[in-house]
Amino acid sequence: MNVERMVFGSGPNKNVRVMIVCVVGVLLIAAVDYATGIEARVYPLYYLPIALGAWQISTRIGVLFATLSTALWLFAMSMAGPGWSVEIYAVNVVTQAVSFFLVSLLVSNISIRLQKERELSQTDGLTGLKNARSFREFGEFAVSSAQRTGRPFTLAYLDLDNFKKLNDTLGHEVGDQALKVVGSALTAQTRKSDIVARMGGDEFVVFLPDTPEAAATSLLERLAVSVGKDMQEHGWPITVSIGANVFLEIPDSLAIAIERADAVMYRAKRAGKNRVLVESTGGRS
Amino acid sequence: MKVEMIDVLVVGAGVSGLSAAWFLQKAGLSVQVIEAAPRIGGRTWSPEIAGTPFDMGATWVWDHETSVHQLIEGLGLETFVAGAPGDALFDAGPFVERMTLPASWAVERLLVGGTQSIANALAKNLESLSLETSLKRVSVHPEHLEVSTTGATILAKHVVLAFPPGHLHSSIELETVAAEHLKIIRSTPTWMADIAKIVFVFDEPFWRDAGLSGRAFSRVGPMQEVHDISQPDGSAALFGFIPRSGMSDSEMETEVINQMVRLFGEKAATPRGVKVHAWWNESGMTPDPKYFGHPILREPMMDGRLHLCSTETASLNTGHIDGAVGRAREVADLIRSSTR
Repeated sequence: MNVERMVFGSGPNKNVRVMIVCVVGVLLIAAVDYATGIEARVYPLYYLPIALGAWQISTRIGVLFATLSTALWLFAMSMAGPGWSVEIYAVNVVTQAVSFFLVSLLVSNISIRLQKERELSQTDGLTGLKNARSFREFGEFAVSSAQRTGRPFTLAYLDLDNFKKLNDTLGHEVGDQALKVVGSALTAQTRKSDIVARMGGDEFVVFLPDTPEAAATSLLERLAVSVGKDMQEHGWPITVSIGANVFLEIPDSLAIAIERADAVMYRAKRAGKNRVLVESTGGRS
Repeated sequence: MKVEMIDVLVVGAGVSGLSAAWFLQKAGLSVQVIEAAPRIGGRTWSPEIAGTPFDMGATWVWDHETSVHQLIEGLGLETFVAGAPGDALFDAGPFVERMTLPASWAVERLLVGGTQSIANALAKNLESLSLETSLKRVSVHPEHLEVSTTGATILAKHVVLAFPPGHLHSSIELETVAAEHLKIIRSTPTWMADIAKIVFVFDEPFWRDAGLSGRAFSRVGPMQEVHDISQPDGSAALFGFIPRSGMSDSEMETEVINQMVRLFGEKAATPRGVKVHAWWNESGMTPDPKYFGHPILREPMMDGRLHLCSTETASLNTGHIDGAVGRAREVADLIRSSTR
């Protein structure tokens, strides 16, 4: 938990709270600016609401407060009546506005980058799917959730067939392209509640919560067909071997589940690739 | 001493025993319930914390569970979906990660007034219920079973043992039941026997302002999971599961507060009320997971006159309230068909 989250929280109401603080802040600063006249250098305080809005909400809000601050600063300055010429006013307003806008843009840029970085740390750069680390976290959640509900789940391990051959003959760029296409096929063929991740290389996993054998088998078969078709369209000799385990009895940990699904995938490979093998564990009479 | 003969004696006033008694009484049989503890409910227990009842034991009913929903509806009880949308937290120890779980994952449904209200509603309908009365012995006679208790001796045509099979104490005698069968019964794992629950009541659900659902999963503990159990009356609360560990109570308390602050910020350090309850239970025998929900537990004993009835013996949703109710329905149907 960082400091500003403790102060403002986040979520839908956060932006409203930040806006209120910024508006009140900028008006207070303007009032002080007006009251102290031209000699006291109050104007750097305007950076505070500008930066806060840009950091917490968006570039547009930062720019909005930069504009508002420029207007209020101009108003306070003109009310103090220094008797400058129009040209001097114009130069002052422009330099002031530029510095306000610059700060708002820089701050929001850093904020957006940090957010992106957080997302990237959970994402596989090539396919846009979840990465292995992120999958383990979601998966641990999902297994514990299944332990509570007692509902069966299915974990599928996918490994591309002939991927090495593709890489060796057509080059890594084509290989990467194929992985991307597989990634989008997986996303398209699974449901919102499923977790799809790239574990590394040409290995993928699909976690199907609350999914017994029949539903899992039809979903995975559809998925294999879809991947095969996409590969064929590109003229790539790639198919997919899928091994899945249906856990009618919920395992103690995600690691056990991954191990089992991986073992089933190897059996599918040994049985001659390009096939879906679904096994199940647990279940009582 | 002249003793009246009843149709069914139910031993145990948890959800399973009370449901079985209610189903049988509704079918026109004479039923009596005895309970060893000074309260009913068994592992459903919803004591008041800071003025509102919260579940210290069984908490959720799931939407795929039909037996419990049917019972709840019949009793006129109400449920509600726990929590509010928001991110979950993954507690890896050195860092805490926010994650957006799919909305359709496991809808957590709670009972208004807590799950103990099921037992309370059932007990209100029953004609005979004695607390603080323990089972000592069941002996077999041609026309009836004779049950010795710490209170009166009871004669019944059928006896239902509605407590966790693993709690069948070695001092309790069940005449004619084979030693091998008794060993299996006593080796059955008891649901919840390895966890403690801790409930924190707050002035407001401050985690929601931070866009959090209140759900958390931890690799490091002491709480393995945290969930939102705020009530519809506005009382805000989170609860956690603590697996059995070697930690002392005071160590655990300090560690749990540290973890709450790590997850939800400083406001989590000052709850309005806290209550812990450990369901840790040492049964006489080492539990064997393979007997959990095993069909042998559903085999009637004493010529079809003695039945086990607890969620551990259920074939469906074993361990849950639904398992308790489903098994009670099954036992009641068996007894009714044999008395017809």
